[in-house]
Amino acid sequence: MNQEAKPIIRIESILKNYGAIEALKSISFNIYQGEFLTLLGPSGCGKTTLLRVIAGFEIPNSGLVEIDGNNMEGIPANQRPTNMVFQSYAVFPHMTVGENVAYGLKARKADKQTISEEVNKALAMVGMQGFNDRPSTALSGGQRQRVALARALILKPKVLLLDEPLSALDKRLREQMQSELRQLQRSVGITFILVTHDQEEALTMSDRIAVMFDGKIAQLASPQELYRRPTNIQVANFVGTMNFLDLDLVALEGNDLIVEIEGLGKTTLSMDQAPLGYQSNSMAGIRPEMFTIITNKSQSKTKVVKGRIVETQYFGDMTYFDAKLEGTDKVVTISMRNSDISFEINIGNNVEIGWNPNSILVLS
Amino acid sequence: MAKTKQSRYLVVYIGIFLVFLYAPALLLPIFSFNDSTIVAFPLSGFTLAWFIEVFKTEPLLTAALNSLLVAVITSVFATIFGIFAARASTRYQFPGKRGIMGLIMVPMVLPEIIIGVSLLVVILQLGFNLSLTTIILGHILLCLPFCTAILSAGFQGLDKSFEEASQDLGRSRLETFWYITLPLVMPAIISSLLISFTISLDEFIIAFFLSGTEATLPVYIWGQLRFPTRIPIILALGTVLLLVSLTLLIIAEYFRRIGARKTGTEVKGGLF
Amino acid sequence: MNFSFIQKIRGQSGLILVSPPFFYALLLLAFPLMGVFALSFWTQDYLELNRDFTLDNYREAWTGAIYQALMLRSLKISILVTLLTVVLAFPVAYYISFHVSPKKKPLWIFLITIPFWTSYLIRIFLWKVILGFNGVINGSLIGIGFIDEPLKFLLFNQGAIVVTLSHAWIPFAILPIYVALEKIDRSLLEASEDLGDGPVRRFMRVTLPLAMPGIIAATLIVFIPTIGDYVTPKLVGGPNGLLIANMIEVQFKKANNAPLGAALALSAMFIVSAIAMVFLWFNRKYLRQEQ
Repeated sequence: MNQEAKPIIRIESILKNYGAIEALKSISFNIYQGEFLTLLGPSGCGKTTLLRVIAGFEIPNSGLVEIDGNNMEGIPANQRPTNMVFQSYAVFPHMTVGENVAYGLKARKADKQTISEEVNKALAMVGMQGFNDRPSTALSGGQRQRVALARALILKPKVLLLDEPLSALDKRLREQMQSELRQLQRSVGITFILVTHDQEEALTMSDRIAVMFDGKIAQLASPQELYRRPTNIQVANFVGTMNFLDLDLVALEGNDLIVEIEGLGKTTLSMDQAPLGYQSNSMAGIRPEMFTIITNKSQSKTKVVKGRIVETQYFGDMTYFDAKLEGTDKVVTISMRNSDISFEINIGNNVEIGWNPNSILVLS
Repeated sequence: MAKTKQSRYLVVYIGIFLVFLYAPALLLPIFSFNDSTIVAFPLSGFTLAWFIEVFKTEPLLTAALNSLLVAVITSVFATIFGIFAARASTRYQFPGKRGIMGLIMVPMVLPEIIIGVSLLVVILQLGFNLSLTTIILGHILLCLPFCTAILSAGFQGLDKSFEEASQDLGRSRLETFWYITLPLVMPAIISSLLISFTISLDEFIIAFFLSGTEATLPVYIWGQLRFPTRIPIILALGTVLLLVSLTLLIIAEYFRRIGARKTGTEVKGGLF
Repeated sequence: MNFSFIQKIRGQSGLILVSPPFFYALLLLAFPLMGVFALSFWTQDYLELNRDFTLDNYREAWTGAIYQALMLRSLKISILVTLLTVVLAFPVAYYISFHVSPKKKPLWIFLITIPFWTSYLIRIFLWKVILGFNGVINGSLIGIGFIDEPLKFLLFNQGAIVVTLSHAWIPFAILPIYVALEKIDRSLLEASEDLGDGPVRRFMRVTLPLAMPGIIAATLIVFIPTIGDYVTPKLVGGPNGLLIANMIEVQFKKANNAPLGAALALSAMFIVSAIAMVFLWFNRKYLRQEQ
């Protein structure tokens, strides 16, 4: 990430209420030039509202939005250096593809020659050259998406805002558009802000992800960081799957936490494994792939517990097992590559489960 | 659904119902081509005389022109007011919204005689003369709720993000309204114009109360119904009106379908 | 500029936008209605208006034998027309919604409305032709030798008014009931059948309750304007068929007693609204019990 010192967008203490409902609760963060940033969260978390505040469609009750060093207060959407791709694409149905793409440039009073060249360039950029005279009602979902992109990018915005642009597409097309969008963003070098509720989409496309819950940013980090070191239970649950086990603090020795974990027993953790420190309601979190069902004695894991398989789910490359840990009612989820499994594991089998204290996170 | 005994009874009922429904409309052409001043069976022969008479009767043509004038002005103003009301009610929240929209919609459920009487009282008290203008004022009031309802449906069917996209691409609110909103709700506007035009053209009670010396077509027809010899001409006129209305209606439906296609909504339901 | 200021302007713009139609309705509907209200408490001597407050007009409107008779007759006819119209309309709406293929539904709705796109007055007049002494029904019946003399009871009575008005309002009853029936999720009917209801029980327990909003709308749409109808009684009602609207017109025009006319008009409106309210209240109560 080419993170320059100066942010392209600075957001400071943004507050937005709808009557008694607080949609955004004092949000502050920076977005840097050329970054692909994703606002990720469940519906109603305020991510779309935040995007619309940046675009100028919603006026915050208080707080500051600065784009490229300019305060956006009082500047309407049509004068901001941002452009948006809408969830419904909003490709104007009464215009052709070419007229749609030219719509913004015409407002800038550019001459016909320039407009026509720019429109062709923009259409080529999204792989739709030659579509100029097609009626926009005759386009497929994916094509509309591209027209909406071309229409926004032709204005060379400082920031492109994308409001759940892929949610209306089917799975295969969505995956294709994900990689195309990422490539497009790299080649034009424009800052992209994407809103989505799909964690997989966020993880594959973004430079950084802001996970939002309930009008607040819970964590802002790179995809790797977010997956490996979520800072709280909510984030860990939303991004990927995580097992949570009860945790009792036995002793605190310097930088070491000596804890008793439900079903796994007593172990020593480093203070680094508790991103926000230990609290009385903290739990031990461990990703399914950090457990291993030992099928080969040579596999070395520092710790082993016994369990019984109660459920299996087969996914082709992977299998997910639910196992009840010995001596408890606790069921944990374990994921294994099928290529790593050397004998059949069925419901009711008693197995040995390997795990490593390093892979435990203390979260609350 | 399986054909049961009940559904056979239903089909028989529908047949009888259609006869009841169409009885007057079928008599209309029959008697307008009947070569007799007495509107009764048996028929005496075929003639086009009544239709020719329709286009030769001076007061009838004057009344028709008056009605046309009233209907055109009414439909334009009712639709413009309707655009304001529909836009405000579908896009904005404002204090007293329910009451204000309620008042605008009231004439839909008010007996026309009440509208006619109350306007008559005020106009006479203020010392104005009854004229085509007073009829227009009453008709705009009567048509406003219908226009507002049609246009509200039009504005509601318009995805808000079209307008936002236009502003986002650098256009002002006024440009957005002109280049995006108006073209997309144009089908609703045309429907509104046609519906209010039709209502005004056929409206009798308000026109009867508020007309001065110049009659509209229904007021003229009302006067003629007292003279038995004029009846065949009036029936011929009725046939002409039926054909004109049906043509307008089909045009309205055509535009509604285009509109539904434009805003991407499914074409469903009937003509309304 | 602070933010809440901008929000205030946005809140105002709805009000500014709605103001032209609002002021129009205020000036030409609300104020005139208030004028009629005031007028109903005044008296008129030929052309002179006496603005002393009096309840005489209402006393006369509510106790005068002729006004009582006209009001009761108007109510009776309105209620009969409403009942007949809704009862006639329901099977038609049901047929279009449940027995006509989806593609042909718009055509059927169009078919229902075609007869109504000519002059209202001419349509009413044609019923006079159908029911009249030398009219279609009598002519046909004599023609086939069923009767020897024309039946006189067909025209110029209250029955003729009820038939004519029912015909005039039937599409306005069919459409809302049709819309309500269309909204019924067909799987609910299948569920009812699956749970053991026969066609009749299914209709009574599922279809009819779910169609109720449409039936209520149809009832109000027909009932309220019918009370103000002026044309039908004059054309097909005969001497004993005049209704309250005709009396209101007489008071305003020929009798030159606008205050009494105003009192009659407002009384009629009041009674109709009261009946509509009671009807709505009754239905809401009934529907709530159903839930």
